[in-house]
Amino acid sequence: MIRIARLAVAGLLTIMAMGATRAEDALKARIGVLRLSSSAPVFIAQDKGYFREAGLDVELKFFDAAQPIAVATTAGDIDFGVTAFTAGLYNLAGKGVLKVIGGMSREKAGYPLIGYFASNNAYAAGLKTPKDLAGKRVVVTQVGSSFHYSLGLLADKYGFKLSEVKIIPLQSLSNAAAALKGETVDAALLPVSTARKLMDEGGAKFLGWVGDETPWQLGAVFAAPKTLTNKVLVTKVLAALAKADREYHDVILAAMKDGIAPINEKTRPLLEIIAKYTNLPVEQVVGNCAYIDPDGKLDVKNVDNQIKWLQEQGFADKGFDANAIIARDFVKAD
Amino acid sequence: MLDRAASEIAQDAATRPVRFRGAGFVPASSRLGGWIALALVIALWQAAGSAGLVNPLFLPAPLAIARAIYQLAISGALWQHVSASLLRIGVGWVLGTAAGVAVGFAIGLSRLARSVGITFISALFPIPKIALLPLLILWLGIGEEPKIATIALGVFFSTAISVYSGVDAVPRNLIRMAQSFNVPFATIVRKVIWPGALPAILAGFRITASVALLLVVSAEMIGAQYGIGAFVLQAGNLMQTDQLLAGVVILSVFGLAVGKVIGWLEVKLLHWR
Amino acid sequence: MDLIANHISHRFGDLAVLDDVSFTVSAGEVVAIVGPSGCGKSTLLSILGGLLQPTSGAPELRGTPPADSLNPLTFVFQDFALLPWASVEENVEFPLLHAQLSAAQRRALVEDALRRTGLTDFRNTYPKQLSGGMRQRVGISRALAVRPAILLMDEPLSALDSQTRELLMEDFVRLLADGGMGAVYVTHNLEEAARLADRIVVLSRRPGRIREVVAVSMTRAERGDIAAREKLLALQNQIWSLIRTEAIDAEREVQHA
Ligand SMILES: Nc1ncnc2c1ncn2[C@@H]1O[C@H](COP(=O)(O)OP(=O)(O)OP(=O)(O)O)[C@@H](O)[C@H]1O
Ligand SMILES: [Mg+2]
Repeated sequence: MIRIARLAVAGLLTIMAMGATRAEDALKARIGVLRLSSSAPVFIAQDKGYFREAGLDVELKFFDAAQPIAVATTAGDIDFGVTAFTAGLYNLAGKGVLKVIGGMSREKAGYPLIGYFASNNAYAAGLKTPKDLAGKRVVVTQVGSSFHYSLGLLADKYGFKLSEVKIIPLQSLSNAAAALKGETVDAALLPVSTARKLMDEGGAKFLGWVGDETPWQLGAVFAAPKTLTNKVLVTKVLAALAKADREYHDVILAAMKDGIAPINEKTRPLLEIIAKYTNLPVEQVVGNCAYIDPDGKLDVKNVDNQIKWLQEQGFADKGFDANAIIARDFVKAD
Repeated sequence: MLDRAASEIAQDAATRPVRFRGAGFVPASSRLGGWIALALVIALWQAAGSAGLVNPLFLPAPLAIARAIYQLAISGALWQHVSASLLRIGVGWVLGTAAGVAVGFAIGLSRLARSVGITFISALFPIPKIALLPLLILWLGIGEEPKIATIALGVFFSTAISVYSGVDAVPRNLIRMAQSFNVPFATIVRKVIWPGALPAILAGFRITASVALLLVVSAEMIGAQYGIGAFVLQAGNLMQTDQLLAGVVILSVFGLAVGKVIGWLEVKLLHWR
Repeated sequence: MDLIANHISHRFGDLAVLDDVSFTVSAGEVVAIVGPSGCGKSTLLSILGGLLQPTSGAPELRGTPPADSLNPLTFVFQDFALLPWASVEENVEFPLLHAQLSAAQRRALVEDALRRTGLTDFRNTYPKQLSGGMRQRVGISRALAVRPAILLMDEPLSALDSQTRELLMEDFVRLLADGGMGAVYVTHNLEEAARLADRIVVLSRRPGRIREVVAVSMTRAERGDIAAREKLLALQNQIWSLIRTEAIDAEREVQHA
């Protein structure tokens, strides 16, 4: 009697186990993102079920800084990372433990993302345009960050030396905002979300957007080399993202005017998805929409330029270029 | 005349020893033991690194760290970093300690200062100093002042607490004794309370010296060009893990050195214990 | 100079500890205070020495202290109260630091006090290096240095073993022999009281009242003789019978929180 019961249980367990294996057949992927609109396509693909349709079981892991996403990807805690390029990311990629597989957000004219801002005193004293930043004391969050690089591009554009600018790394956006408000520095590079609040309080003056001055490839999709061996998985993830890229571009970016997306019955569903994942009200999301290439293309030339710049500054190890860190099989270049 | 009683061991029966059962429970620290253990760990670590068992990115081997320190030293940057940090730590620690000792004594000696002081300290001590950085920047700018203030603040609270506990722990009978000889208040403070509280104060120094070292990294978040903290932060931002650990090693060497100095002070000043 | 307890009563909150205690310690006189545990002996001594404010009544002085006295009422403590960070010499010098003395005068006072207690060779030792008996000698030496008119001693020997106690007892007999210095000597130990005191004040159990004041009609020198032993024992027994029942009651008392 007992024996029969045991057999029955064993049989049941086997059937359940088989069920479980079958569920695992749906490809699993963990994607690390920041709760920023520059990852909008990831949120859209997840929320509208594009990943699921592609037979993927995607779990989003949220981080609060770019660097940890890169580290978690190399450590295997997540399979894909979507975030901005940083010197740290390049250094990891230069060691071969990360590969770039696709493009994400970009600085582009008409799409406010990072801006240059002056303190009230410095503005009154004649700091009125980004060109005037030469020779000033300028806050960035960290050396080798997107902000720092943006400043380097600006220096190249207007032909002044970056070394003429006194760079002050203050590690966090709140510190940077405090320094600007407290008039202890002349200017700061800040993301639109931080800057908008500061300007509403009258704590800073707007000088210009990085996208208008020096467009560049800000963010990317990347993965560890081990993940790349699973070609099917990578292709499916990128395809689902590309579908969301296209939708985001056509519905929201194409409708934007003066850096603001309109709220109407067409845009609202997508804006609400972004609002949900970024924990922001829709009214704030509309002024905060990063440009993303509709085909998920990557500006490889610019990536190479970033690497060269970081290497010149001594922030990245020497001896690698864009080709070394890009997964050619997957990346669609500009 | 005293009667002598027998005192030799009687030889007639077999004896057996009483079993010794008082062993253990007296941990004596061996000077050499610590160093040997440290050397062993470093050797193992290096071996694991050389054998490729650990990814050098996640845990650079000791040799890589040593190389990073060496390169820092020959480039001359090491000295710039160390001197910038030492200045901040030194000035911040001295200011925080001076204020902490003064406030600690006031709390230990005066009823008014006690009720006010303890309330404020309990309310303000647990605030993470990093959370105050934006405020410090607003108040003090981004020069040396907010960096020194960050360290001084951290040092101040621990010092004030250890000083007033030290004053509280001075035996009351010694104070009564001094009073019974009509010793004036100031002399009692100088000759009874100060030396009586000194063990606790020095123990507090041990903690505040470490606090100062911990906080130098936070302090140098505020736009520092040079400094071990700034160096560690930058290395972290750039994912240069060997440099990062090089900075950490330099900080621990600071810590060891400060520990030695305080140990020496204790031997000098508290020999009477 | 006489020390007078003038109708002293004291309460700690609700707890009445002393009830209308009055007596006089005349110049050069040694008065022992005995009584059951917790009856308020230490409290009384603190009040007499000006370290505690009584609830009512007051300690008073009559006459002028000797001209060379720097601290007429000087305590010798049960727990010695030595500064652990100071050497023997520094401990003895401690109460002289704030006095208006030349360095030479101070030296001389310290020297004399050390000599009288046999501590000259230990001047540079620290308290932790000394035996209990030697520590109390430092306490006594410190008291002698300020030339007291009256020593206030609260069980100065009770922290010591019985042999050391015997040795210090002999020291006290010697120090108090010339009659120049008076003392109030609080003790549990009836033998000590009988050996040292000119008069013994017997207190009742708490709240302490004066039960009896017993005079000891022998010089301190005489009391060392074998012949005096029996008389002293009889005296002790007499006092013991006065406090025995009270001591039993006091012992069985449950301390209130
Ligand atoms: N500071 C104080 N506050 C409250 N109660 C006290 C205080 N000091 C002493 N007492 C209480 O007063 C009573 C008398 O204390 P005291 O020390 O004077 O007695 P004693 O006769 O010296 O006792 P012992 O023989 O144990 O030395 C005791 O019950 C004690 O608990
Ligand atoms: Mg007592």
